[in-house]
Amino acid sequence: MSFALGVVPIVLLLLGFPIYLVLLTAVSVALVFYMNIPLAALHQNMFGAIDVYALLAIPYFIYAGELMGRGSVAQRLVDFVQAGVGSVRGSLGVTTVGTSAIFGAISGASVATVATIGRVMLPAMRKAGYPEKFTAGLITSVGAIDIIIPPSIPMIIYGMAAEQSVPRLYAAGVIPGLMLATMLAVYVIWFARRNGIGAGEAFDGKRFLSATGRGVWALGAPFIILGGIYGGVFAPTEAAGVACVYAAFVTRFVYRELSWRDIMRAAGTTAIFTGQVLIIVSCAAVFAWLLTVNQVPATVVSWLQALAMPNWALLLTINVILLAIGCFLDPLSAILLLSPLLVPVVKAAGIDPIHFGIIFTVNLAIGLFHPPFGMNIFVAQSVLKLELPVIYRGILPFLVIYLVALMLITYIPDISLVGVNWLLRAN
Amino acid sequence: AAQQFTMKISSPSVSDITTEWMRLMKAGVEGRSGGRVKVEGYPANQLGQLPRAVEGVALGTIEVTISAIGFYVGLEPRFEALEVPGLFDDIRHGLRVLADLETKKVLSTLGASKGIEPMWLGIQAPISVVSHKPVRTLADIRGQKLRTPGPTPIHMEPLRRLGASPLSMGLGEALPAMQNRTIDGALATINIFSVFKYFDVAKSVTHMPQAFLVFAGMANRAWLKSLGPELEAIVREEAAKAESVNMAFGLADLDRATKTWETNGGVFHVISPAESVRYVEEVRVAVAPILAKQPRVKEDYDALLAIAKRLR
Amino acid sequence: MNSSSGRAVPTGPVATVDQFVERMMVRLEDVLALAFCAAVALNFINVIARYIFNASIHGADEVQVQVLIAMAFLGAAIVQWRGQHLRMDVLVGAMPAAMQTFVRLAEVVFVVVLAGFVLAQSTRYTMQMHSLARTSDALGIPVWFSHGLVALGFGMILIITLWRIISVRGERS
Ligand code: NA
Ligand code: NA
Repeated sequence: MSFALGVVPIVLLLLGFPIYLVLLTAVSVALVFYMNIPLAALHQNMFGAIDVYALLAIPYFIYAGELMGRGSVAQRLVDFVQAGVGSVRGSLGVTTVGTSAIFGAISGASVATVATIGRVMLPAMRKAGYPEKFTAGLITSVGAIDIIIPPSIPMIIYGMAAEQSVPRLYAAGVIPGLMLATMLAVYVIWFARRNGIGAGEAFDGKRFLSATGRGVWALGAPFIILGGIYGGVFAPTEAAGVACVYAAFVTRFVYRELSWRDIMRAAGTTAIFTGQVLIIVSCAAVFAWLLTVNQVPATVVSWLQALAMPNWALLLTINVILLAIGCFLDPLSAILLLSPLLVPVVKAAGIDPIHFGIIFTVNLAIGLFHPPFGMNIFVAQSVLKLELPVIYRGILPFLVIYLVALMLITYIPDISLVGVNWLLRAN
Repeated sequence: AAQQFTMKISSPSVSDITTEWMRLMKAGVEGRSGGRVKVEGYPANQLGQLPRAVEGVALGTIEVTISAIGFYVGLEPRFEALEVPGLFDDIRHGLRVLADLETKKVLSTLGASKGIEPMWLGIQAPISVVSHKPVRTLADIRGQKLRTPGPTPIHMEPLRRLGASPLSMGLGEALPAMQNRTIDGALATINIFSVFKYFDVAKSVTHMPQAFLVFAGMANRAWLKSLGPELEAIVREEAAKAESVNMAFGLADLDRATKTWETNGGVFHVISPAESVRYVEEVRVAVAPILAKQPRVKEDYDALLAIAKRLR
Repeated sequence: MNSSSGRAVPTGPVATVDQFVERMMVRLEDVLALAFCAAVALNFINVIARYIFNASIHGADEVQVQVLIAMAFLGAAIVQWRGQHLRMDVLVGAMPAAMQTFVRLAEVVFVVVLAGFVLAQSTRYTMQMHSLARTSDALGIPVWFSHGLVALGFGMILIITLWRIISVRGERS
């Protein structure tokens, strides 16, 4: 069994087989040769993984990004942030971080941020002389903030699987998300200073006003989405769909940049991208299911409990396990697989399950761009056409920053819980 | 003896009556079969979200799954008879009806053509509405956007008749939707409201009169047969014994959930007896045309109603 | 890296079939795009209807999920045709050419076997859903329809890959 679910996938992965095929081979071998379970389990889990309403947020956010990227909406949003922070050295990098954080408050899927922001910022940063490696690393990793800043699809799924309140999780994610954005921005400025790139320009009030004016409709997007969510007009998944309509409306009727044909073409691209991503989610679900019925996660957890470690060591061990899992599984499968098992362990150790939810989410956010693969890496490859070795090398310093943030978030619960306490007092 | 069969039991929740039932089944079945049947409990939807778990039991990838009765209706419409409000006066009465031999006879044929069989029936709690605006009378329901516990007309029509706008959504989405007031309230049970900490968002809960969340542990018929007469009898007998959790654990669990709600600042509102009678009447009117279209469901419902009257 | 099929430009009857398949794939992409736009519109109308008219469209989310399933599995078939499935091929890129050819050959065999396996299992499951007459919760549509999309998608992947094998052999001979 460990041959089927361990050796086979690693070998095929290294041989460069398509990832869906790697997973499919592993689960088929396990089902046919090692297990006494009706083969119907294969289809059942492949289908069941996609038959999920919340997953619609993925194509919706992708499509909204696609439209904004084809038109000038994202560009105008970037121009606005750039006009505000332009006086800083390395301002383009800071703009990438800032725009991603704003985008994170609209979007719940990291891939959309990477695709949308990347499409605008990549050419701009190249032109300004940023090293390709640095740009690739920044763009691939920065989108991970998106699932930490609410709204967040993984937090909804964790809330469901661990029976925790999603509003509490959302409130807990705000400060860690902003902290990460700040850390990334500081690194970007340091890097730009040291390498003498991206010289700042004097802040120009006129330019700022004009960028604001040119960007009014673009800036309207976050207001419509956030206002809509917090004003009770629509739910988070619906919000992603509304963002599409808004983006189509602005690019078609206000800016008159896209024809109906362009809007359809963007929808086609979205469908193809959805096929690329969800076929992996689908096959990974069977993999996760087989691990579960072979009691692998349960064994790991009982082993964890038997060690009777102090809390700091327990959390460290769990972090290592989650990071390892995040290298291979997509966040949705990982949460569904592990949270029902880990949450009781963590609760028994007296750790707040909301705090743990944030630790979990940050781990999975790292998994999104941690080599060997992750959704953000896929997007950087397929949408932004970045070279894999360049991405891998570029990611390293950002990985270190995320890991430092993870340690802070793990060992200082208040970073997460202050937001929750504030929310409860406000209620 | 060596293990010959595996009994995977799937449940959507954690540490509640369903996991207690799993524990009893594991102890009983593994003990009496001498390890020939291994029982594995999978709480928290580990084996898949509910619609898939239900199909899993029908096709034999999962041996037993536990879920609210509504999730079986898409497979076997006859289960809808158990969802119509007005059958039971209170939980104890409902549990008496479900435990009655005549009821078991009616229910034993349900799902036969779909390869499933109810192995354990219970009542989690009354169906309640949690809402921003307190519901003290039926008139308070008018104009509210309410999440229903199921998408079928049985769940929708009574609320529509009372002037509400029912809509169905997953439990995971209902809480954020309530927080940002996309919806005004949600129908589920106090167990669910307490576990998911709905008290963060709204404080008012009202039990709907004579409406209860019935759930079932559903087994794959072919698997039961494959056990052979001796082991099949053991599994059935242990399931019957484990039914004791309904009274022993279920009612205490409901009390705990009720207390959790209150200690977190939540309040309960009660609909007056006169209004309750009117509610049940309104439900009957709303449900009549739906039942008229499904003669088999109507037949089961009438049979259950007769048993319920006898056990009052 | 997204692999390309890396084949020489085909001519003759192979080219004719290739062009035909390509046209079909473009059509399919258009159909998925249309369905997706319809889902976006349905989502928007539902939001407006609920907020302004206090009435929601029954089963709106069910329809949107159907479109999602179609995009996932039929989209995957288009991706297969275009050789754009996501993979991690840093290592294989560094291998000698003969080795690369062998690995690619092995991959094609794997695709045929596994797509055939999924096709068989999904078809069986779909037929079981059909005979169980299972219907969706909100709209009461038979669920075999959406389950069948998995079979359809993998059926297409199988045919595409078989055609690749046949056409490459045809060119060589
Ligand atoms: Na977000
Ligand atoms: Na990863």
